[in-house]
Amino acid sequence: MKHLKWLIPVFIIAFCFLGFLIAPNDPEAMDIVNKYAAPSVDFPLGTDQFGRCELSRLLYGGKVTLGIVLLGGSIVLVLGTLIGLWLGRANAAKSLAFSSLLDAVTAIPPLAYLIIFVGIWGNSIPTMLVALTVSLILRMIKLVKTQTELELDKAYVLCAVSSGASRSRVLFVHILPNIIRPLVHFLCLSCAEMIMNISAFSFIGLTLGDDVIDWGSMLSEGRSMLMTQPSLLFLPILFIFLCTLAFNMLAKQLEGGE
Amino acid sequence: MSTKRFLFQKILQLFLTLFLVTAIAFILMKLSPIDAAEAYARRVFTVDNSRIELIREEMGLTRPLVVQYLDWLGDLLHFDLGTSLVDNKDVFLIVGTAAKETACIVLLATVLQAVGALILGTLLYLARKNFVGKVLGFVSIAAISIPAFYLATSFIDVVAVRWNLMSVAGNTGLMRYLPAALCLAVSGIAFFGQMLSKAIQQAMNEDSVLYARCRGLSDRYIVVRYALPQAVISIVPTFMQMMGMCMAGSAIVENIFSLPGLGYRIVDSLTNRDLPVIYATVLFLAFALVIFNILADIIQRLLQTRKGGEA
Repeated sequence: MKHLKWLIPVFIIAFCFLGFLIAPNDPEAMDIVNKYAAPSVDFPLGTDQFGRCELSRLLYGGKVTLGIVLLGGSIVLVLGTLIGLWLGRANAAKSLAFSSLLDAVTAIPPLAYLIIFVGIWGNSIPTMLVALTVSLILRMIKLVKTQTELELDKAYVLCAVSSGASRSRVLFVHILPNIIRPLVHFLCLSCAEMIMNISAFSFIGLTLGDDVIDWGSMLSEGRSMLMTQPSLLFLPILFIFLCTLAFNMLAKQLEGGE
Repeated sequence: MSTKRFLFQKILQLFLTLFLVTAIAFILMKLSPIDAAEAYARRVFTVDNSRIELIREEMGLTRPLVVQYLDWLGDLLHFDLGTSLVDNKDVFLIVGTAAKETACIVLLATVLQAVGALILGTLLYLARKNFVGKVLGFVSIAAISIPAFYLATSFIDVVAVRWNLMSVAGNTGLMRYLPAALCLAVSGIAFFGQMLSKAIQQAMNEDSVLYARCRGLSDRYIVVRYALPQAVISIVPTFMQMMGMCMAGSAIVENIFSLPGLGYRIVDSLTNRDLPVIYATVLFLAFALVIFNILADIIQRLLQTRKGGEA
């Protein structure tokens, strides 16, 4: 039962990310004659307004959305932790000027970063990845830095230093295991937020590119057919909801054990 | 560190941070490929390179970046953010009106969040051991996972269009902002409800509660009278930070409900390549976030000293 609480969210995320491998049809293949088809053996969830396989599109959309989230999340975790640990230890970082700088860069909302980066490079998957990563990594650095500073004052660090541990040993062997839990907790919450942001931005028109399949743009296409084909709206939202829920449940598990 | 010194340092930090925000915003905007002179020229005249150069000269875009920045900063201190490239209106007025809309949504959402979280948090704690509590706990995790933009669209599609319960356009007063605020508040209610119930649990472990139990008071009375106020105080700083985040978060909802708030302005000015307006809106949002963050820091500190003083 205890393992189940971990396994279910991980399974949902893995399925949505790797599901495209078992997609029954080509997500781009149009078949206008066969539009709005009901679910059948060939098209398990029916077809959309261009006769494309809805299930395949959902699974490929998951590859794109979760690909960005997982890649961005890993970059944020690794780089954010390294930089944050280093800053938490460095004396220069304690200064008022530095903490103000960190406050300033984290104060600019993710939407603003996205708009600026879309302005520079146009809308595409890399732009979305960079914008989300940049805005998140700064918040991650801030979190790691604060956590590290709190841990540095504790007695076990003094003990480690006095028994001859090097600076990097104190940081990675002694402090990191103590702060990793809140970090991963923050990361899971951020991943849930990233999924929603990606979908929201592409829903209001800041898409990932013209022919990229993703849940947000499927949603905005499906919205006009709400009255006649409600499934085209509800299926993408179901996938977004399930993935976000999975990350939030993981976060809840991490929080509960503290 | 004395409280006075702390306050002084925080206020100093506030100004330093605000200054840095302006510098970063300026640099980011200069990195953007939108050429203000060209955007303006394309709108007003038939395009001609020498003309663009002339306008560039006129707008002062040929001067060194530092001079441009200081000049712009000086104007900013006089609340002069320039004029919109689209209709020559004063940008400060445009952003001011937009900010008012956003502030109304966020304020209403904050009230909804505070009331909702209080009720949900207390219920979550009181019912934590039975089936109702477990279901409620799951529902509140699920509520965080529903994107606000989906809530907003289904609100329009279902409540307004299909059931015809309330109209979402042309309302005045409170009703104008209520749908948007409601959609914005749902995830906050769920998030803070969970946080509050955890905080109540913590407060219930304290010695004072044991003493209250010894006096023979009922658990429910102790929760409402003793644990709840303490728990509320402990989540106030995070709540303040959330208010700042809401300012940016309302962008999506504003776009869906077509309320001309800050987020709506950003997307609108982006499509029009209206540089001064983009600039001013981003700056305003960042300012709001910084101020709320620092307020959260100060409140946390004040609450800590109060707690320490009592002990």
